[in-house]
Amino acid sequence: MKKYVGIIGSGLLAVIVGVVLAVQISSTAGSDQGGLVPYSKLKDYEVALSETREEKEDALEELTILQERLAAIEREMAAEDAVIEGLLSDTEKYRLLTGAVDVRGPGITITIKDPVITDEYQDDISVITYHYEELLSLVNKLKEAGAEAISINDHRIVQTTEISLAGQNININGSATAPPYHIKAIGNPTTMENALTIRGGIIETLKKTYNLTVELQSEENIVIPRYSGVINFRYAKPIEEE
Amino acid sequence: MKKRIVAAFLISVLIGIMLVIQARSSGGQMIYTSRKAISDYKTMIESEQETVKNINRQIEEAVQLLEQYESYEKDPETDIITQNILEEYEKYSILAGACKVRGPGVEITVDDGKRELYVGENINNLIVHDIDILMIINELKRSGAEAISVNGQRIVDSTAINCSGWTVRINGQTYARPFTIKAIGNGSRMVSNLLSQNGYGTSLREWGVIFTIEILDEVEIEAYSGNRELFYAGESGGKEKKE
Repeated sequence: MKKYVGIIGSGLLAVIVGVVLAVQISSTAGSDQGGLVPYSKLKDYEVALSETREEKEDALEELTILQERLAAIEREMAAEDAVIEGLLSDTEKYRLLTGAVDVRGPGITITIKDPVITDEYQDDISVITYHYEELLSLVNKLKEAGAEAISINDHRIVQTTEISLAGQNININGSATAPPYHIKAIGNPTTMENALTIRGGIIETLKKTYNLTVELQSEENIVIPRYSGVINFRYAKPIEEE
Repeated sequence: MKKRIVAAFLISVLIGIMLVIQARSSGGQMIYTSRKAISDYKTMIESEQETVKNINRQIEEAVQLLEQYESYEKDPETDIITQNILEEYEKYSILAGACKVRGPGVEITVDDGKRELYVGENINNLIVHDIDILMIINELKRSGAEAISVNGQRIVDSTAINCSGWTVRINGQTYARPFTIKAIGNGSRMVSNLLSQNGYGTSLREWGVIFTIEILDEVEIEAYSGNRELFYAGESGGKEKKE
């Protein structure tokens, strides 16, 4: 009997090693996101991204200038007609309210970063991306605290803005975004800060429950970019009030 | 024999130097990063490029319109300027919630569940919370809703929805259950997003909350009743403007 102990032992060991290998392989299968890439490669993407962003800013500026020229012609014409003048000044007011123009003012900025990665497979899904409803809730709380203009990663939050999970990213205004998230809000900085940092409030939840890094800062002057998309109403038609 | 010791010593020194260089050159930063970070950058670059394209299309349109505007004096018959002013006015007054609107859409009713609680079950499972309403509105927006109201309150840019005890506050007004949400837009798209297998309506039903949705040919949505004014935000700073 004794001479078999060694064989059985090594047999068992082989089985255990086999099982461990199988578990290892199956648990990483399908997530080819794992593995490491040299950091220097990321730099190229950083450069490409900032170039595209600059391009976007230039294009937006050009568009704004064109729209100002159009508005100047419209105003010139409206000077002759009081009704049209009224329509124009209402349109201008609505454009300001609905995020069609850049705005500046005092407010707060919030930065939300994913927890520091401690092992190689942990970062397959970003914590904040998976819990995107916390971003939705944060925006709602900012509005409750009187925010007048809000943007997330420079995407202006307007009436039609959705914040939804699409694949591995959060879509805002139909564009894919990725962490870290920079949220800007114009309004009363003290009210907004105190509303968010209340004990058991949203900031504490983000920090304690989800282990996210959250930085909040009051600022004197924040610029929030305009909405860059086009909104067309195909279904909704205004009802004339008698 | 001594040669070997010297060689081993030299190799050790070399390895030591290499290690130091490696550590120095990364400047305390990570040398490696995850594939997810790379794919995040790729997605962001693509989405920014898409935005640039979109803006360029708007620029083209503006240039065309400007040409038409400038040639207007030659041909005052086609009053393109007034027409455009009216279109823009209509668009932005819908967006700002300044007018009542009508169109096809859906009507949703959300109410606290009526079934008996399981032993030890938390009553919160059956109750409608502010996050539920927020998520439904968010899903409607994702499905292209053009105008939304909750219990008659038009949802505008600044609308916040918050639970305050037993009631929910929308646009600063207080409401209690049940909640009626109306939305104008593509009805079947809104229904399929909310009632899909992972849809928010489906998961509310699984919790035991009452959730019904109906496609209607005509939905009427009230105008925003408040008076919105900006005190902090402005094109050149809100406070300066006030002075």
